[in-house]
Amino acid sequence: MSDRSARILVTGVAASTRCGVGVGPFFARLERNLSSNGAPSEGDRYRFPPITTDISEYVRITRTENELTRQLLAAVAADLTQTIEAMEASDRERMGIVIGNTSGNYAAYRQFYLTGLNLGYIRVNPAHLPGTLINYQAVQLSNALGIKGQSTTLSSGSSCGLDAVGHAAMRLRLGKDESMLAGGIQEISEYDRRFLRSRRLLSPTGCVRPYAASRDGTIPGEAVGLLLLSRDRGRGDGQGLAEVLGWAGAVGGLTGEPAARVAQVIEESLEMARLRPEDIDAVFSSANGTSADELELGVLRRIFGDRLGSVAVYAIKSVIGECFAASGPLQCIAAVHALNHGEPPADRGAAPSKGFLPAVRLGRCTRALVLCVGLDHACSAMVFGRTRPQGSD
Amino acid sequence: MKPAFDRPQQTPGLGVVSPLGIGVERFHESLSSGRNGILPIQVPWATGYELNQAGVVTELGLPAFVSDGIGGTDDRAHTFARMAGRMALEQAGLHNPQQLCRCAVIVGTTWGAALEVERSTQPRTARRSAGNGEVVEPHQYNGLSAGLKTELGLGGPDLVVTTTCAAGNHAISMAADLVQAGVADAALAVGVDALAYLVLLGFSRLLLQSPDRCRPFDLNRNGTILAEGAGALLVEPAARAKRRGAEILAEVAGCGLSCDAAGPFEGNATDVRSLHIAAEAAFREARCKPEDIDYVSAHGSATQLNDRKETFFLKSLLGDRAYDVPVSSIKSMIGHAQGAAAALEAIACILSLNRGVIYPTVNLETPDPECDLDYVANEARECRPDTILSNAFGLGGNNALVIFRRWNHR
Repeated sequence: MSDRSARILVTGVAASTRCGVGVGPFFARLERNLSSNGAPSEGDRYRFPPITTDISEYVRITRTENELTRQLLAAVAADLTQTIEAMEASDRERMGIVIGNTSGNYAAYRQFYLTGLNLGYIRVNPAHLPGTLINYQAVQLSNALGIKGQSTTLSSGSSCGLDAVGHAAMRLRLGKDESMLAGGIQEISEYDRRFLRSRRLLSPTGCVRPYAASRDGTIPGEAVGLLLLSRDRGRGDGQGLAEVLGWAGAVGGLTGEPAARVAQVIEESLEMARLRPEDIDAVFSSANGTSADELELGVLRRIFGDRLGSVAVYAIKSVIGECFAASGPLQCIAAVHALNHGEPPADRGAAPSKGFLPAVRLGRCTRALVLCVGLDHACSAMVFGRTRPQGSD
Repeated sequence: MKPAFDRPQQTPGLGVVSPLGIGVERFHESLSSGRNGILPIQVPWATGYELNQAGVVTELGLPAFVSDGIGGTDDRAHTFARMAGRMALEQAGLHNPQQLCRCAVIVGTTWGAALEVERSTQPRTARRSAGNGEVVEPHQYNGLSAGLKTELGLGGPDLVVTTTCAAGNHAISMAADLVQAGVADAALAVGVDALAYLVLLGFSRLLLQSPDRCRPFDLNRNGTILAEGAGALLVEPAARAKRRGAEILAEVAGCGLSCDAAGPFEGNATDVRSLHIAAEAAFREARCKPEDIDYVSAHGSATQLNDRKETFFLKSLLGDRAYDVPVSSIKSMIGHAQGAAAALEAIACILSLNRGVIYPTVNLETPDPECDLDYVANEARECRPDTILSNAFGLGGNNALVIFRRWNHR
């Protein structure tokens, strides 16, 4: 049952981004960007990569042709197969899945609906109905892996991927599950593009330049980001890649104006982690090259004060684009990588302008804050710590 | 963050928008009398069926598929959810901002604001939206929960959870989690869906939609009948409700979630492993055993496979007692309200705990040898259950089981 002292460990991560399938290409691209300083990219290059990982067995089981599902399966196949296979059979069978998805399978819904409307009911393939459900990808992942825990999709706006991770951590902390696969998925829909264009948020130059004076908008990106979370049962069976210390967001109580809400989720996540702002070495922000960057930066200034100049703030959307539901989990994955390698892998993607943040290079990263602030002002925060033996510091 | 605690959650407020009426009293009266809420409907597009029927919310004065906002901006599902949510808050006596500032809202739905999606999908609308100057709102599933949060003045988290037809129970489970974790002081769980063309077309093409009647557990059952509506339950700790003087209606004693992991069309009537995983979790949380169950509110969707599978599961769960425990499906009267189904059934369970009546399975005329439990056929029964198991299964294999218990039973 509920145990506030229970440690929640990140025991695996998986990704598929425009950089490639698996976390390897993602990290490599982030590191390359340090030297290239965020070369402009065409918008269409933010789409999913070709699948090079062997997912034939998963496809045989799921019989899916849905690209988002295949990318999800490819990410798991590339990064998590061994970890999941090493789990005890009973833990694996009961493992839960929580996926964040902002807008559902809009393209599949649209195609099914318009086929019935324009061509008549007889031309509709009924087997395509499940593919129109927002929960389709989560269930197909359960099918592929043969796991029978909950298989859920959450939607809470642009921060829903991070909320899914937070919800999984909450279930683990309450003792209701032992392990959860949680994250976010996003594919570019025509509707998302229309939304960004109508709000003049789409970058005309096709480049995401977070915090840069020359920033002119964002580019939607397609991605999958997953974290495997496990409840540490004190058996000494692995320390995991990182520890989830605190979180807040759609599962954290939001009131007031956007800036106040962002500040609130940061403060609540730090409170749960029993940390102060000065304990944080790096912030993985959700800056995406739009005016929302200023809102986020203003809150960070308020929380960190003068010390912000010595905190490394990284915006990985310069590399992956605005991936909505997948952004938060990918920021988490970048943070976990930084905690394990000392140096956060991403730079800001573009030369910071005067008045923005100074470039800070870390020799050691012990605790990282991940922050999601959506264009819809949905926000969430999560604090990660380097894993260490219980009781030591 | 407040400290987490393990105490069970209570429900002091309910709200109903259903084909059998709006409000808890009308719902109770209609269910008690075995009234049929299924009606023929006019469908603007062909589905392949000569006669289209559905459980439609008629009291709004609007036919199926029609929203009450100008240009469809106030989606029908949104209207249902708002009405049900308001009723639940009123019954619970939650009115002022101080009481609501840490109240969460969790919406369980299968299709979200489907009519709004279909409206925006029509080519002419899409072309208009692409023009300069018009602001296109993001098509996000959480529009339902975000809208409710604003309209009802709730200050806590808002989330949409989508596990198809199990979503209503899933929302109750998530609401209980948030309160138990101390993330919210109270949580409004809402199950909702409105009839939309896509689901009617899809169910018709899959032959899951009955051409005549919804007959759960009957030998001649030939599918479910789709419906719409909303059910809302306020979940909060007993102490908080008591301080306010609210009447506690039931205890949400335990919840269990699972997935069949078998593919959407590959169900097997005897493969009930995942149901037992969900049941184990629910009973562990409720700190009770299957022998404590006095009544089962069945998913009972009237498809051939589902009813056989559910019967097999209940026999394996309850053992020798299976034939003595009443089981019924109110879908026989209201149809299958999709994301709202489990929430409406949860409210029926709570009414059973408080009113001393078990609602019937109507249209049950020819017994099926493979479905041979006590299904409370055709007439309501006087009974005072203390502990009720409510089953909800979703397309794709999601399962959400909730155990409700009479308040102060122990």
